[in-house]
Amino acid sequence: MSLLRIFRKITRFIQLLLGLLCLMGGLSSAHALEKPSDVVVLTISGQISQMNKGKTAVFGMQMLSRLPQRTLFTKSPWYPTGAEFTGPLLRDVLQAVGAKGKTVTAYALNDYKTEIPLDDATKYDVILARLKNGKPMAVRDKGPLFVVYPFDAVPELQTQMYYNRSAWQLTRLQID
Amino acid sequence: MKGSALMKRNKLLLFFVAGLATLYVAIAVLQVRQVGSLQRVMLRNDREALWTFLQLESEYLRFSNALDLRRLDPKNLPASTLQLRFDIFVSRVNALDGTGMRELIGDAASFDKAKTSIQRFVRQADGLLSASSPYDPAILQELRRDLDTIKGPIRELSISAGQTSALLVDARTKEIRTQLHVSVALTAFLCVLTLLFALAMLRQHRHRIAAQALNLQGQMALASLSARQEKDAALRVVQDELHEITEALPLAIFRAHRGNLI
Repeated sequence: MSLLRIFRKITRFIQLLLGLLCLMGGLSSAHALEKPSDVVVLTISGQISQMNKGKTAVFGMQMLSRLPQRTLFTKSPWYPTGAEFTGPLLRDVLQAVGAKGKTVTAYALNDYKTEIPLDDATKYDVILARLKNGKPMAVRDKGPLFVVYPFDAVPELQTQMYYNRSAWQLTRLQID
Repeated sequence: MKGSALMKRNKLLLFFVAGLATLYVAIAVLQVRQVGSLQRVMLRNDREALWTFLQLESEYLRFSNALDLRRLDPKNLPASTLQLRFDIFVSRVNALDGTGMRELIGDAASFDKAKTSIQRFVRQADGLLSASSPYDPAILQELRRDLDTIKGPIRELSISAGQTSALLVDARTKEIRTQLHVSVALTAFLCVLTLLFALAMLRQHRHRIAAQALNLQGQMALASLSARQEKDAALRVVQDELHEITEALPLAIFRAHRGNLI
């Protein structure tokens, strides 16, 4: 084997190694939780592994809109004729912060709180709605975030227990 | 005579069956009405409505408190927090348009009047808070004055909702109790009906057993008669044989005796 060939092989190996490192770096940066560039609308605390502000993870609307979005139309006690809600799935938000636990306590702006079993997030397509009928929700219109269960798609959810879990004016999640 | 009695019995049976069918239809109608009545009292959204009225008063008080804090010293409370408290209060005012709200307040006219005055305040407050210097002490003072005007209507709505809700709970309890009595009566009636059917079946069974016994007795009597007849016939044959023997024996003895003599 000529010296030139050995040199080429070493160069190729270094290129591959660098590529691999870049890929790993890219992946790790994708997993790390960025800092919100706009107003914080959601704070997650408790048993989480990804944090971006002290021991909590905070989200702005832009961060939430960058997660995979889901749209669902459903009727509910608050919108008897139905409304279309758009936002990330609760399980994707919980995955983004590395949530480990059994329950999520949702807090609203008026200090209302409700416990949501973590299983609900995996069993049902629960979304953290940030849009209603394609428009952002103001505080006056139950915004900025609304926990929405697929009430129409899963009739078993049409009970007071799940209506209670549908916190609106959501501002904080505590994982336990 | 026998045919006429059978026809009469058939008519009675037909009448009985028609009566039972009517009774079952009546029970079905009663059950449907019972389910409807229970659904009407159970599916009322009064719990949600009561919660909304209580929340309205609660958020009114919190906004009122925030406004006072801001008026006393702007450093006590950021303007954004005051605006947030106002927006939360408005979200509860908007909830008054939801279903079941007007129904929960017995007096619809007073509900409309209170709602109109609250909505008027919201419009005024929006105007004041969107002014060029919204957190000016004079403006906050005016806001305070306006806020005081809806204190009474909000309190009245809250009390009225609580009282009507309690009355609804009473009505619901009464309805459930009535339906429970109806259910117990229906169950008792069905028990009596089932018992009557059981007695009728028992009577029929006893008749069948008696008929079978009679039939068996008849068959036995027939067998006994037949056996007696066979026995009599055999006896007659024996008697005939004996008669023949007793008649033929002296002659045979005479002939034998004469033969010996010869």
